[in-house]
Amino acid sequence: MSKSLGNGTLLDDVLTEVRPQVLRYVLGAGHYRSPLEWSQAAVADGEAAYGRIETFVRNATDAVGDQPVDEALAKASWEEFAAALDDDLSVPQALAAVHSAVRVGNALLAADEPPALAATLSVVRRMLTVLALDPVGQWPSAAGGDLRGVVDTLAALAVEARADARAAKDWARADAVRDRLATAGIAVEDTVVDGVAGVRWRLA
Amino acid sequence: MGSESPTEGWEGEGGPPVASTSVTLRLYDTATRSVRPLAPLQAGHVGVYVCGPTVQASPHVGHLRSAVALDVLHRWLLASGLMVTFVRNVTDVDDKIIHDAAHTGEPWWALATRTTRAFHRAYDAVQVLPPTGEPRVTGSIASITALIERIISRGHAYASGGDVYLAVRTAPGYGQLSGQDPDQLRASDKAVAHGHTGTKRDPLDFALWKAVKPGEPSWLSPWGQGRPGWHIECSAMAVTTSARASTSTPAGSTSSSRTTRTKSRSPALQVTASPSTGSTTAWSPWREGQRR
Repeated sequence: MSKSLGNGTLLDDVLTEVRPQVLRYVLGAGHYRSPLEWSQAAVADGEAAYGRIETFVRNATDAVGDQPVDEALAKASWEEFAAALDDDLSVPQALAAVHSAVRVGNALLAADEPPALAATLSVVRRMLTVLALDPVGQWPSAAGGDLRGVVDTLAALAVEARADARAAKDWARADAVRDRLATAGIAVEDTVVDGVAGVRWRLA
Repeated sequence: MGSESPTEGWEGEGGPPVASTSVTLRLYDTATRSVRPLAPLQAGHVGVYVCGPTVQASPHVGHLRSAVALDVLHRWLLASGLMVTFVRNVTDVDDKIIHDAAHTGEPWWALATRTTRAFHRAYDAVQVLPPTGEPRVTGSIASITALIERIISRGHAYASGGDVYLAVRTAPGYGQLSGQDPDQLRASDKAVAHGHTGTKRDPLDFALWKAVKPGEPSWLSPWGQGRPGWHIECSAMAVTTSARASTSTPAGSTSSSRTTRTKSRSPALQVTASPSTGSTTAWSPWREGQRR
């Protein structure tokens, strides 16, 4: 038995240290009839491997845009994947097909070949969907669904712009900033805490 | 790869693959110790029975490892265009649930309910598809006692002191599925620890029904008040929910599984399909005389 992660193997503890999609990747990566090693190293390997998949899907999605998809261009990858799962659910071989397609896709990205890239991206996501590992849609976003930190930063930027405008006595611009925040559903209030002036935002 | 592979749905417009009448999946068959084609008894349909959690404590990664492996099976069957009936039970009454609950003063059924919710959250967290059906032991007592009565009537079990025991030696091929020779097995000393009230004819025999003990939950049965033994429950629930089951595949486990118990006398997974050739050799007391 290898050393387990810091807080042990209870799921609630594990999920404080490992993203759920990475946990799924690690737990599903071995063959179901083989023992699976659960260790810090195994999780780190899984995070790196799944990260390569996520990076490709993100970059390729940006690059292909509205490119029409001719999936037949990447049919061989799907057949390799299907043959692996048909063979007593050989997930290791199926994941090898995914990673091999990701490598091909990264080369297509570098070579700027949108039609072939679109096909490869499509087949990669199709394979990942079967394994419940498609980074798009199936899992919470990187922000973990809680966007407070992101909104906080953006609201601070807008509030700064408004303060700059007021300092320059540009009342029209200051009001415009406040109105755009209000349109976005964010109400800004001036505050004084311990004699220090500031602002806070809330969803209106 | 045959021509009926899941690639058939390839040319479609992204819709679900067209249901196919044949299956290209090959799975490990415990009874024959070989990888064999899966042959559905009913064209286009596969029934899967999974021995689900015994909800005695919060889930750990070992529980999820087998759940994810079985979810890949579930999703691949669906992606292959098959109709899938996926049944995963919840064992919501057992020795440890009763013991742990008694220790803290929490009602045993509250502990089981709370832990069941923790398992559902865990399955959801890693995107394990929900099962088609989820029978609970406490809701399956009638089918369990009916199954025990059938086994007794066929001479493979006997009542003693309010308990009912499976007569292991009357079962030809007992241990074949798990690869164990009854003559090499050592009787569990748990029989004493669990305080069986009846008398076993053979140390290897195990309880299908346990007579009630003070402070424990119990149900009325032909043998008096009591509760089911761990090893009969899945058999009854699988028979009830899928009616037919013959091939089986054990789920994997992680090397760090600390407290996972598998019902060693029951397969962890039964797939409702017949091997394409030959007949199953796994002994099933309730199916004796029905084999093809």
